[in-house]
Amino acid sequence: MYKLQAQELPKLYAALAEMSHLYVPVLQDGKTDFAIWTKEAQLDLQTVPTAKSMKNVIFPQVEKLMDFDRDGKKLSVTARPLPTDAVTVFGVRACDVQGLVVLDKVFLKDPVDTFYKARRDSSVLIGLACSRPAETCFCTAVGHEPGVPGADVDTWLIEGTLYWEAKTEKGKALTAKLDG
Amino acid sequence: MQKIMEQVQKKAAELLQAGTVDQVVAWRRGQFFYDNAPGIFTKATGCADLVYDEFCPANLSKYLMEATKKKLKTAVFLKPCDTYGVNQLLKDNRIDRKYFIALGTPCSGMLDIKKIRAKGITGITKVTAEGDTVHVESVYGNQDLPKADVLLDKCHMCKGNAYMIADEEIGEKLPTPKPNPDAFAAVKKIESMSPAERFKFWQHELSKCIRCNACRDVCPACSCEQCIFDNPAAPVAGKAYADPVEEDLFHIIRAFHVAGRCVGCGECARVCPQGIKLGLLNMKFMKDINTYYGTFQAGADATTPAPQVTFKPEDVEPSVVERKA
Repeated sequence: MYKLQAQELPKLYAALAEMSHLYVPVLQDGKTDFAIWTKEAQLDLQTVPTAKSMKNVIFPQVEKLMDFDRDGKKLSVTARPLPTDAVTVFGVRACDVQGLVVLDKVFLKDPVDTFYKARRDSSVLIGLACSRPAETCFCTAVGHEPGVPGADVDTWLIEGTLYWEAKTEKGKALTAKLDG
Repeated sequence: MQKIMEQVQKKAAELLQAGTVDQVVAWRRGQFFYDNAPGIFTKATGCADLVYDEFCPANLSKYLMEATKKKLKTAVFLKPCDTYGVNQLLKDNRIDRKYFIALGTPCSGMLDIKKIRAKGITGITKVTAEGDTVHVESVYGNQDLPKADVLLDKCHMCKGNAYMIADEEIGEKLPTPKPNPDAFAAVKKIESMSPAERFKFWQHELSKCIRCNACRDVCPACSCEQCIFDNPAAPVAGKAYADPVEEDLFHIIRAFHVAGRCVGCGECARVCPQGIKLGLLNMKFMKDINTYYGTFQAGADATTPAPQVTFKPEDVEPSVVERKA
């Protein structure tokens, strides 16, 4: 377990953004959704849940999978390279993680969706425990625990301190990298 | 409001009990206090679910289309602003006067739960309005807010407490929120932008569209039985934001389509899950109509033809519109 003062968080974001594409919950146009972190972005860790889950990060709604080239009567198809850029998502909630568990059952089973798998493999999820669930939240009713996100790293933001605990190999590797 | 709700419930139950109507269109209690939705009541005993408070923004006028089609005698509760929609539907021959009873229902402004939440209040359990103040109760404590801060956007365009059509009025009329002194201020702001800025503004707004069609479905002026956008064979039904032109055209075509018939009820912008300022497009048309053809309010009655469907020799020609302005 690591501890970090909340005012140090921008440093954490900057470090994560340095080593990967960092997604965080951002308030934009009156709505909070996961978006690429920038220094100017209006981070919002209070809104639970985000308007859309973090699914879009791993499984975008629109994605170019291949290119078609026509040369006279010849048609050639070129697959786009797999998305293997390192991605970090901060502020993932327990329900977001459960959403991915369901998606995994579809896309990681034969036939494996290679684009989905590539994104899943190259992303590290940093969970954030819910301290003030919304009146619409029902995760406990379906057996989930809002206080334990179950991501690669779980964090708890309590009274100005962020508590950090790596849960998976991926999470431990990220923690080691940040530690170094 | 509690007293008015009781009167509304009583009225609905009486009409159904006496068999005066086949159905009552009103608002039904939602899962949460703020998500009351339109409801159709057919039994007097079911009217306990009927609700009327500051979270009943839905304009029910469009439900009369289905009632007319099914030839069901219907009683409909209408807030003052909703009555404009009914007149427009009558004018467009979409509803038949003999199938409905219009019940004027007093309103002093509807509240926006999103604006209350934006004040940083979570776990909200109850909201009540009293005069200019709104009391918010939440599991984390209570708070009072100025009502003007948390009114729905459409209530800032309030047209007053008069009913444009009503067979009967429920209770006494209530004082309405003070409307914006300049209804077209937001439109003027956009008009003053450079073409490039304006393009950027609308590109940003419309790019949020997920083509759920909620704006179209709720609109009392958008009442075609067959909508051109409901054609699965045409590539216009995409929900993914792949081609920005599609969303742009959808909203611009819709705005043209309802020009002169849009009553300015603001429902399009209210139901938009993406928070697109859709009303602005319609307001621009209204402003231009007022400027070039004289002040006109669609839905103020069910007979006056819109300026777009009439011709007067003194009408401005499209080519001289700029000069006259």
